[in-house]
Amino acid sequence: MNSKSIESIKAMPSMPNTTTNHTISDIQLVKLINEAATILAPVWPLDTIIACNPLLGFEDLPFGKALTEGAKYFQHIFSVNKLNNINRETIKWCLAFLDEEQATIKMPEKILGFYGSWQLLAKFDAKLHQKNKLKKQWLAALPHNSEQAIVYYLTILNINPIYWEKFFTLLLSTLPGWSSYIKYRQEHTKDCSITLVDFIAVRLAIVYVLWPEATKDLLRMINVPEISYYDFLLQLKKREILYRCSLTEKLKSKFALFKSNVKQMRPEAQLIFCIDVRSESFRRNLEAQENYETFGFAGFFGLPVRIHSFCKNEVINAYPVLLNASHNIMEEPINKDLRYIIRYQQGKQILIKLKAAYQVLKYNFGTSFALVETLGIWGGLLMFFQTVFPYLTNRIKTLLKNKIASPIATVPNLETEPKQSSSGIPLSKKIDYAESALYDGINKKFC
Amino acid sequence: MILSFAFYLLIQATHSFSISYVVQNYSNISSSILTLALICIVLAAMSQSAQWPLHRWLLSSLNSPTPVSALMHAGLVNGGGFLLVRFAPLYLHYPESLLGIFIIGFITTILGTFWKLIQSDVKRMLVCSTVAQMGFMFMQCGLGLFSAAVTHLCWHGLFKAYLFLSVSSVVHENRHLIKGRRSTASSFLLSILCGCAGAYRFILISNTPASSLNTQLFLIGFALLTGTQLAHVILEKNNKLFNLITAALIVFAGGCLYGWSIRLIELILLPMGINIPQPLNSLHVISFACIFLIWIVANSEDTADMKITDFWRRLYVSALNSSQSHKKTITANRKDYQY
Repeated sequence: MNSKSIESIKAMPSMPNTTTNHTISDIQLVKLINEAATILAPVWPLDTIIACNPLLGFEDLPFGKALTEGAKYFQHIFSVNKLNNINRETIKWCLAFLDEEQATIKMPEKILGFYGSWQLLAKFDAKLHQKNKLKKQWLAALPHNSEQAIVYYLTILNINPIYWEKFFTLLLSTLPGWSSYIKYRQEHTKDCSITLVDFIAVRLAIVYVLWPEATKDLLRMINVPEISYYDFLLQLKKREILYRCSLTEKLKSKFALFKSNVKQMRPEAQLIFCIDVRSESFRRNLEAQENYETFGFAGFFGLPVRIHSFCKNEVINAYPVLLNASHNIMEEPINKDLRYIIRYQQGKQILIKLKAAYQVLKYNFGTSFALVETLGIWGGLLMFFQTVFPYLTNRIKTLLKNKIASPIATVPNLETEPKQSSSGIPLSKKIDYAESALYDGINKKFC
Repeated sequence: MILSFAFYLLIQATHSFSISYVVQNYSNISSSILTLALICIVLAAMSQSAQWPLHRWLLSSLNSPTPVSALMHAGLVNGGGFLLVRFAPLYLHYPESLLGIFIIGFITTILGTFWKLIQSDVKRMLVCSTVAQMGFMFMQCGLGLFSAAVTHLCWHGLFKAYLFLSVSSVVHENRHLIKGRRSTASSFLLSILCGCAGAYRFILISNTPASSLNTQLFLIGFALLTGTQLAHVILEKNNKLFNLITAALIVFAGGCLYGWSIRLIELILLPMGINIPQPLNSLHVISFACIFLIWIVANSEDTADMKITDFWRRLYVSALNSSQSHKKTITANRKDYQY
């Protein structure tokens, strides 16, 4: 840390909020940040992952221009050591905060939100203050409110308000993975413990501590000579045309064949399949058998339901991740014999207890050593059998599990119940869904 | 390097390339050279088995593909333990050196466990857990129980390899099973009773006479701890007689399994004669008391107050920082963004 930046810290006001020259309301600031984040494509978590166009934010531009802009923001050819330091610290804190029930000891006071809990811990982070007394003092007196903090940091970093939005974009695009994930959480979940505002506030504070002169360098980063994709696009077009020509030739020959034996009469059955490569072979073979007609349709058949599993304590969202559920469906056991159900539930309790015991011993202090010595041999045996006889091992595992808690057959309950207004599907809706599945699904060729 | 230096010293002193020869004829070596060589061997073992403060390399190797990690944590890290075991007779000759090894192991165990519990990333959690387990193995060496240490290495290797290979299942891991557990004084006492049953069974099977005050007691203490915890899971909320009997039986069976798996390896290593319990000293007692206390605190419900103190915050941040990988191994910049 050079002497100049120490001076700048010395000259810093102790009460940050009073010296803010730039007046901007919190709402305006949030708007500015969300504006700055438009170039980010949200990233979904692993268990509901969906493919996203990385150039989603540039969709209004022509393709060539979008590529150029994307490269400008996301392809940091010039590795800046200090920026990497800042990124590492941000990653560390994001990882600690965005824990998905993995840490036994959680980040303290997570309830205060990302910025709130971080600003309580920042003064203890030796990687931030680097044992520098002035930096320690500064970190100990951070503003509590993230919006106010952002304005304060921008002021002391000496950034002209006209560059604020650009600077926000840079802060986000230089760590695109995490910021895109936070964007997903902000826009597609109800959890608002971490927002882009929090993220920017933490990042700005880290920037100020580790790299006070960042302003110029960072803004220079996007003023790099633009990469032209003209040649690349020309090549791409050429290959595309080439491929298209060969494909149409192939299709033409097939089409002639198809036209000659097209079935004029009414099909004996019409079948709707989930439009998927896996159903493709089924459909082709079925159509070859008899006078059957098959159609592809979106796999959830236009029915966004959330299924509450009876056997597992889980809720299955049986629809594409971008939609919201409009109905809750409860599963019910077919055999309503109470003894039968109780026996199953007792078995399930045993399994849960076993699992809980394992977890308690594993994620604890001092008990994991004996656990390891006891289970080691079984882990080894399991590994061996799963490698050598994978099917047999899995069969035995399922068999044992079923012995303890034999699964019971269930059926989804579609009826609406007066007590629970949220479950089931009302009759009028059922008719609507059936109609739309038949007409939209079969493209009005329903006969 | 350090290890070659140690070997060089020993070869110079005994004019032999055979470890077994050196181990049998150590009395001919001058004590200062032997001490230096032994320290060097401990240092080499520490770095191989990721002992504090030489644990950083293991944390920094996180980026390796998961099967490689599995192999590394099942095999590579055990090298240090085997090195110590190979020279066990020399260390058994110097009780002070054993105490040193014990302290290193103790510190590593405490740190590793704490690091493990704060990680939100499954691979780093497993890595920190390996550090703790290796620390435990060092403690066992330091207690003079070298064959117990080998047992630990073997079973830990297999278990950890299995965990690494099934890492991806954490996406479906249901961790809230262990939340909101309640505990009452009576259920806790009953758990301890069950734990005693388990520990007793362990003593019988693993053939560890608990009558004399030696370091075997240390291991029995851990068995007791684990048995108590296991019983506590079963007993929570209601400690009816039926539950109590079930808990006692399960812990009893657990003690059985534990004892057998220890006995199995010890029988193989019996001819080496390297399991020589040392007399229990105050340091051992203090260490166990320390672990016991942390265990009690970690499992009690009323830690919420402690967790909003500056002390806790400081502890958390320093543990978080010291369990990070080396900065060169973290990808902090996206240079390549090809479409």
